[in-house]
Amino acid sequence: MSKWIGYNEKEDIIAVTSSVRMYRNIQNINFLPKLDSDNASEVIEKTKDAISTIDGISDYKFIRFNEDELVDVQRYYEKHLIGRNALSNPKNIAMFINNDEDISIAINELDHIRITGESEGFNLRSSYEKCNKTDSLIESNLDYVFSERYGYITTVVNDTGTGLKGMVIVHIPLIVRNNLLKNIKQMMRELSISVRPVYTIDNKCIGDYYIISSTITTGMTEEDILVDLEDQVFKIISIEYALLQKAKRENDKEILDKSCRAVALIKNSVIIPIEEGINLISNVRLGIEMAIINDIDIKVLDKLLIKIQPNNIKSRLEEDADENDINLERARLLREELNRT
Amino acid sequence: MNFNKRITLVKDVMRCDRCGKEGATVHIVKVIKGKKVESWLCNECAQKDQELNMFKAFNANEISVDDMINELAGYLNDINFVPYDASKIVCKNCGTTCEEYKKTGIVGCPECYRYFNGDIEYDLEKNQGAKVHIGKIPERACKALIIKRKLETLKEELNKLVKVEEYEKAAEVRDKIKTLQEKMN
Repeated sequence: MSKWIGYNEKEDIIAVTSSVRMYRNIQNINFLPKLDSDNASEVIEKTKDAISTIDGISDYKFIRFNEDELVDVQRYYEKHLIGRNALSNPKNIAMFINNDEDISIAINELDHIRITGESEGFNLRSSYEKCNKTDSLIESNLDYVFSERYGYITTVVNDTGTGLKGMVIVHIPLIVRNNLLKNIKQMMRELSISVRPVYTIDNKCIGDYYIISSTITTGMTEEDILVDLEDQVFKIISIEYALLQKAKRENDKEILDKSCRAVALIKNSVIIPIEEGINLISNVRLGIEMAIINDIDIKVLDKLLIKIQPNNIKSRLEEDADENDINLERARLLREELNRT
Repeated sequence: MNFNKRITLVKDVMRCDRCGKEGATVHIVKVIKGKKVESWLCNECAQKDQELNMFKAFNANEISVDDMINELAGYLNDINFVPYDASKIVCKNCGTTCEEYKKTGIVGCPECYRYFNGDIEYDLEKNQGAKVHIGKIPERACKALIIKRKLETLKEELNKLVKVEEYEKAAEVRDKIKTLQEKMN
């Protein structure tokens, strides 16, 4: 692990979370396109049996989704713990998750097993350690499909090899405002790094949160893939940070207005739709990054981003809650969290 | 030209496949689209055979190097562009066709990697720049493979050390290799 670079607070301010995923499959069972419900149950049972005897992960919470629990599936989707594919067929999906919700094992999502390790800020190393440890533990009890030539065999051929993806969510409003995003995307594409928005409505990015992720899975070791991604994310973060410093030096009144206005709006609004909610949080975050706002914790804000998602709110309300109720509750939640600090 | 040819001269009396006369002395073996086709010709018919003209010319030193290269390039092109129907290549384990894989990039079972290996390796090379895994290996299931990979790296190290004449270090590495080899056996 000598290649890893230690990062400090500067990078942690711009990076929201870092996560590492591993895609694994069990021997002698078909993959998702050819997986019937018996196969799906077999995968769940085999994984459950394997995990139940392993110290350290046997106490993970087990969730088996049913068709009528779509809210739950969506809630975990909003937390980025399961992928979009799970939404279309939730009845085959199950999940193991630890208490801190930073290590999760999704079953039958696209591959039989998808392990995710997550850390706050810019810390791919810690996410990788969480993910790798869990993977080795499961492997000690379960036979994965592995080929000497291709490595870990996955449903999507392009994931084969290490079956590993690293991803960092970054908040880059100034890169977007200075029209640098297109160039960055182009530059990253050439390096096989993907840049895509986290939240979109009608294909338009909301809140300037972007996922930077690795796409190479074969021909490189896990560590090299992640160190490479880390280097590229660091470049993006450095550009955003330089723009922040420039805006600070120039005493950018527009940003000052944007973030102060966002705080005032949150503290005084009664109804906040999701789009506005994400934008407001993004603007407050920018204020914190610029050190205009000093009394709000950036970590609280990042957690709020998930808490205000429709299904995360819905799961805490009455079953017949409609969009209006959700918008009311969202405004209350934001108001309370910000007034607390 | 999409076939390989081989000519053998034989002494036995055979009938010519083209004119029916006895005394066929030229044995032609062609491989056309994976199928082996054999035929016997007499001297006369063999001389008329266009496909054999290249060899005749070659013997008479009449062929130029350019012609040979052209011939060879045409032959290679034929190999590279052999058309095939992806919908007819099917994984016998799960029934996924190669056409489905090409559309979605998704396979139905681990066996698909074996049935579509040509396309899969081509895609991996194109998208990932590599097709051979060099990362983590499952510890419990692939113990032997882990030792094999370790041996490979140690042997490389040994070669390097010998080249720079670091014999003491090389001896250490050699001992490590020995222990690993014993473990493997």
